Amino acid sequence: MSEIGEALIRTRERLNSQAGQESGLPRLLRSNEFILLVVLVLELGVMALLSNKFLTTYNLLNMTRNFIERGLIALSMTLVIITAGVDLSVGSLTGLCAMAIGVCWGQLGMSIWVACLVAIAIGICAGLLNGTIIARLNIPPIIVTLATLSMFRGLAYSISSAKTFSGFPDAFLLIGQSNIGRTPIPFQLVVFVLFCGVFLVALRYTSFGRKIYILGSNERCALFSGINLRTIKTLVYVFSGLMCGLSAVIMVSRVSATRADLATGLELDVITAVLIGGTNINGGEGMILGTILGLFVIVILTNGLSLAGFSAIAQTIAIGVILILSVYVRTRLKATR
Amino acid sequence: MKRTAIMVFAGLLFATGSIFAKGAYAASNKQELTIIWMPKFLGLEYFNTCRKGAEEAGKELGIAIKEDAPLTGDATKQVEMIDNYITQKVDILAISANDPKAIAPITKKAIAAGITTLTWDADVDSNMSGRRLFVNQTSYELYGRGMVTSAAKYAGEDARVGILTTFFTAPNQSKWVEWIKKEMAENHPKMKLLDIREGEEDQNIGFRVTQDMIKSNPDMNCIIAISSAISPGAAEAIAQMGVKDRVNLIASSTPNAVKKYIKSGDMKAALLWNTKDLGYLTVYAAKALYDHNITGKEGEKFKVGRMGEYTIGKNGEIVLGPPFVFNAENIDQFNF
Repeated sequence: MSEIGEALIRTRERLNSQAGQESGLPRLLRSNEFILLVVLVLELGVMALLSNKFLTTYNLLNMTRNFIERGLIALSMTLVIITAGVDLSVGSLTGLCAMAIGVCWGQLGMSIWVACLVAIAIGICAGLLNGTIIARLNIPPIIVTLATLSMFRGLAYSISSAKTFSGFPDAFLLIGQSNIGRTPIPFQLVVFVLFCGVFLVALRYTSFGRKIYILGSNERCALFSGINLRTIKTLVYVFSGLMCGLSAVIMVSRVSATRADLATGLELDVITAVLIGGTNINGGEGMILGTILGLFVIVILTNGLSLAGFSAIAQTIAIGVILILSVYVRTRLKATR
Repeated sequence: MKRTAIMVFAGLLFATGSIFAKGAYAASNKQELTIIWMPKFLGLEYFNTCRKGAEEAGKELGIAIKEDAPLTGDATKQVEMIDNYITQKVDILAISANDPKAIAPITKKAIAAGITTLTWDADVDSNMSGRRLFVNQTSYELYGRGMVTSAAKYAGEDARVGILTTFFTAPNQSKWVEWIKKEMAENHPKMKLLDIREGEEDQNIGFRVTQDMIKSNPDMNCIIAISSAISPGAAEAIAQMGVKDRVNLIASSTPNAVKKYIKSGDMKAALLWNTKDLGYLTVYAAKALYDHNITGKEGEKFKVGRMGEYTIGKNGEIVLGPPFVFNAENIDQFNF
């Protein structure tokens, strides 16, 4: 059979196995997301044993406040990695957008809301830059985004002229620091849940989502299927940039200040969450649900260990171990299928 | 292949387990009063010596000192860490802030939650946070002026000076730069400031930036390096370029880190304060605040063990004392 024909069949099988989990209980139990769920429940149990402050409504909701920014970017990163790409520039871009908020509001005197829109616009344009270079010039994404990582960070420093901005209006600070009414639900959690829904629907139920999977599984196959590779590739990086701009708004509101070195290293946290969540670094596989579970695995780990008295060093080592273990278990399970 | 995989996992689990064991033991000592000792980040000798002083005071007062901080000077990670300690409802938080504004809201939250909170080494915005005490190693004025006095002593009244700072946004460093400039303008009119650059908090960057600064300013005869994180890098640059007779380095550093440079002459003087005493003083201040013996008002006095009595200054600030100059004559007397 022709190479393209075989590729099409393989792609269809993979898509079916992801989309149609309903068929057959054994497959469900061995599915990536179910395993993550089991890990999550185990983690909750262990952390609850280690500290009696862990399993409280206050703590469980409060801990989400600090990871929303990473979570939002992880949603778009899932799409990027499914296309067999990667965006290393997200940390720097978030820093740049955050700095833009400060400069526009604090130095140029714009209203804070206009400044936020400018920041999101910068995110989109930067994403467009990444996407266009990757899609048109066919340079590997890791190289392009590594370069823009330095570029965006440099821009952040240069527009900052070494200033930090703070003293933002109270209404703006509500985004990152308030709860919904009298409940302990952080405001940004609602924003996050909304975007989870959007990305989940987009990836699973739209043709755009399908095209992303096909592109990631087999690019040549996608090309000959009539999929516009350039558009899809550019779009995933534009979304990445958009989420960076959004995260910057929330981050600046949460810490009440903006400085040029914010979000340094953020990209690694985001990529870790996406990979623990089951997205294949080589592309073609991954689900939003997996990413969300991956995020929770990390957050529960760091929060639980912190409450139990373990230092930051123990937490980072634990995350590394979990990442390797999760990828290993997944590979072994695939081999037995 | 399978055997190696199993051994790798056993190794990983063992490593994680041993770290867990250490952590668990520390967590079980919950009976006595505990201070969460939070420097800007872990791994700097400067902060290690502060902690030793804190531990000395802790032993005298019967307080447990538990050190924790982010691995890098990331303000958002510090915020997250403090948030977790608020959830744990710890007794006392002693913070050296990575950013005066970014750490202020979470400090306010800690105080509102009933946790005795004070700052040391690097302050948070006192208005935004409502913090009552800040233990300052030396007043920014005394330190900035002291640097210039040393510069004049070694490089002459008409010195051509370059400043190596960490970040232009770092709270303590930027205040010191202000006072250096003021002292130059007020008392050393013939001195000129040629350049000021950032070495971030990295030795290698400090090394490279010092080299660049010397190369681009051929008539520079004095460099003031104002962080212990980058001073050894600056000294190494001078040593490797062989310019110690032309360029006088006045730096901020713990003595041990630069002993060899002071002895060789690559660094002329190191100014600092006794970091152990800073930790010691902070813990005593924390205990006094916790016991409500002091409230942070100007003029209040309290006893600090072997260091005698201290008075609180303006805005809740407690100053350790004037800077101490380590030079070739006295460096051997110190070991930290």
